[in-house]
Amino acid sequence: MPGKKNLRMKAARAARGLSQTDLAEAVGVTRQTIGLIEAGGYNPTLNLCVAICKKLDVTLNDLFWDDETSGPFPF
Amino acid sequence: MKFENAKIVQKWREYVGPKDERLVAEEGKMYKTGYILLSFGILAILIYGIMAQQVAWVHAGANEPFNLFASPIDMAMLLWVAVVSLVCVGHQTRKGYVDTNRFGQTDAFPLGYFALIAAMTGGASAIIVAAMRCVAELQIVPAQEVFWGADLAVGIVFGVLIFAATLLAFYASFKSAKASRVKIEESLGDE
Repeated sequence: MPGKKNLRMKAARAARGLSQTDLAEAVGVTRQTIGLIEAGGYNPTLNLCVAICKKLDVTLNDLFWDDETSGPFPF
Repeated sequence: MKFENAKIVQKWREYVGPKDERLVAEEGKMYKTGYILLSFGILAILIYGIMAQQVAWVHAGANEPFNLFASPIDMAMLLWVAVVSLVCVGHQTRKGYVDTNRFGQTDAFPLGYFALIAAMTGGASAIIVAAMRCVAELQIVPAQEVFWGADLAVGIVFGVLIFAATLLAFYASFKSAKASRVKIEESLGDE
């Protein structure tokens, strides 16, 4: 599986009590796509990132900016 | 009225729901692989058929008129491959590019890069055509009667022709893509 796991997205989703299926339905993708984003196996488009952030009520920085490398999340 | 604005299309979209961007991207990759395998496969089979026809004609004394294709269906298939390829190139150039790397949208035609690609295509074609002719001949005559030198020469001639045609096609695509790119950039209204 290429890329780094996005644990912050997983945590934000869990904090709102949403399953991968719930989030997937809310943003119009399949459950596997959400699973792959969290597992670091898929690099989503900006549109999908924004939709996920809106649903989870967080900012793009919260989920997709990696402080360790001072850059976008290295999927 | 645009097709996507038609009521029935909108109803269908409501029914099937939004498309998953990952699946769309993966589907695109699959169709790309399928297109390459299908078009190159059909092309190889048709070229082999032409070569087999031609060597059989030569070994039969070359007295009868030569038919390039074994049947009109073969000709139709080759034309269809050409049409499909032209449609793909047309779509690509309309989007303003000819390649997906740094040479795909340069201002000046990158002759060195495209000449290299055309030379590789021509070289591979020369080897394939020569090999196909040899294999086709071996199907009808013993090895000592095969025109090895002539097959190699025909391969080289085809290779040179394909090199020139490929380079010319790249140049035409580049000019067309550049013109489209200018229009796209004008419509973006920046700089």
